[in-house]
Order: sequence, then structure tokens, then C-alpha cells
Amino acid sequence: MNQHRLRVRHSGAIAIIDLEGDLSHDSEGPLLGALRDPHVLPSSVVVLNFAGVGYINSAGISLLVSLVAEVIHTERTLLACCLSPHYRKIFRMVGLTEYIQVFETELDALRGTEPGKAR
Amino acid sequence: MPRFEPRVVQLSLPSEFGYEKVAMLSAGAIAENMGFSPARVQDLQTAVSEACLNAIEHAHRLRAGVKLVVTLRAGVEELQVNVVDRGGGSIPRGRRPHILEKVEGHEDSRGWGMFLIESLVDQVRVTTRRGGGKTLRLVLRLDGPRRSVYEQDSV
Repeated sequence: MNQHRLRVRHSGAIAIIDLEGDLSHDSEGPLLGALRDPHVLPSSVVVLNFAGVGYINSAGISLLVSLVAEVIHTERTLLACCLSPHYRKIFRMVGLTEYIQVFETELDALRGTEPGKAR
Repeated sequence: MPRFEPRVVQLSLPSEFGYEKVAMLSAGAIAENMGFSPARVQDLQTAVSEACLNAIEHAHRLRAGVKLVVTLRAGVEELQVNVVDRGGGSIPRGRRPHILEKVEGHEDSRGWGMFLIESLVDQVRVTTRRGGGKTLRLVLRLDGPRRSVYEQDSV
């Protein structure tokens, strides 16, 4: 019932991970795998695009905490974009916004990583 | 004036990941019909999903054959959602998790469910039955600003 798919793209040196489906218990392997992918590892900035995500539960939040730990460990920056207002609120409530800068659109996220605009 | 009879919907769900969405979507449809704002409908949906996941994962330990029963009761002023499990253990009060501790690996990255539930609905009541099993009741009220009340008892 829970399905999760993802796709990795690049915009210059920035890796963009398009998430699709549910972010829940069975998302951990694919998402951590994408973050550790040899094509993604050199990117110092990774953008998670949530446009295709309709459901995030507490297991998905835990997974995002693990991703934050991973990017801190590998000295990278994690950004997010295209989250619904509800999940933006959840991100703020649980404290994820302290570690993941959230942008309205993917373009905003990419611009936010330009020199002088990074957090 | 005719007396209002609450509308009651009951679901019996396998204890398997994904079935929490059945309860979540049902609760959302009823809340929408009752006139709750889209934001409150989504708050309720997340809380219902987490309440069901708690039963599926912790009380029933993913034994698909063990059913959780979700009762949705639409009244004049409020929507009540009861999630009944048949498992042991307790439901600890959802203190605000320390994300720093989790990010640094000092705490398990899990443990967000009850915090989310208590943060998103107006009232939470946990009833533990002596013979085993628990009921987690969530209440969303139509009137006024939202407030959070937590209660716990045993029967």
C-alpha cells in the first residue's frame, strides 16, 4: 500500500532528489541509498523536492532526521522545496526546519544556494 | 426540532503498514463534511494516522491478523475518533522530542507519534483496559480556537 519512488537529477553541482508517493517506513533504503549514490555524494547541496509527496508519517520524519545526520556527517547542506503548507507546519513543529531550509519552489531552493544567499 | 443522532462509522483494519491511510482518509472525508477547515482536516488526518500506526506497530507488532478498530463519531459540535487496540504496553505521553539529540544519535530517531497527535487535536484520552488493550480517543471540536487537553485513565 505504501509506495515510494524517487529520481535523482542535477542542476549544476546541486543534486535534486524528486520524491514521489508516501514518505514512510519503506522509504529509508531508497532515500539513504540516493544520498549515498556516487553521483550524488560529490554534491555539497542536496535539494529534496516534495512535489510528488502526499503523505508523510512519523516514520518519514524519523527518516528525514537520519538524512540530516547523514548530511551533517558528510558536510553537505540539505534543502527542501514544494512541501504542502501542512507538512511545512509539521517540519516546523518537530524542529526539522532548524536543519533543512524549506523553500516554496525548486527555483527558490536553487537560488537560495547561490553565493550570498545561502543560509 | 428533531433530535440529532450522531453519525457513526466503524472500521476494522489489519495491523499492517498502509492501512492507517484508510482510517486517515475516512476521518478526513467526515471532517470535511462536518465543515472543518482544510487545515484542521489535515491536522486530524495526521493525528489519526499516527494513532493507527501506534496500534499497528507497537500494540499489535505488525500482526496483520490482529485488527484495530477505528470508530468515527460525528456529532453536532465535535468529531471523535477512537482507535482501539488489543495489545499490551502503554502509550507514553508525547513529550516534545529533542531533535538535536536525535540528529546527534543520542536518542532514537523515532518517537514523534504521540507528540504529533497531542499537538494537532483538541483532546486526547488514553484508556487502558485491565484485561489488555487500549483506546486512544482523539477529539476535534468545531467551535473556537483549538486547545490541547490530555487525559489518561484505566478501566
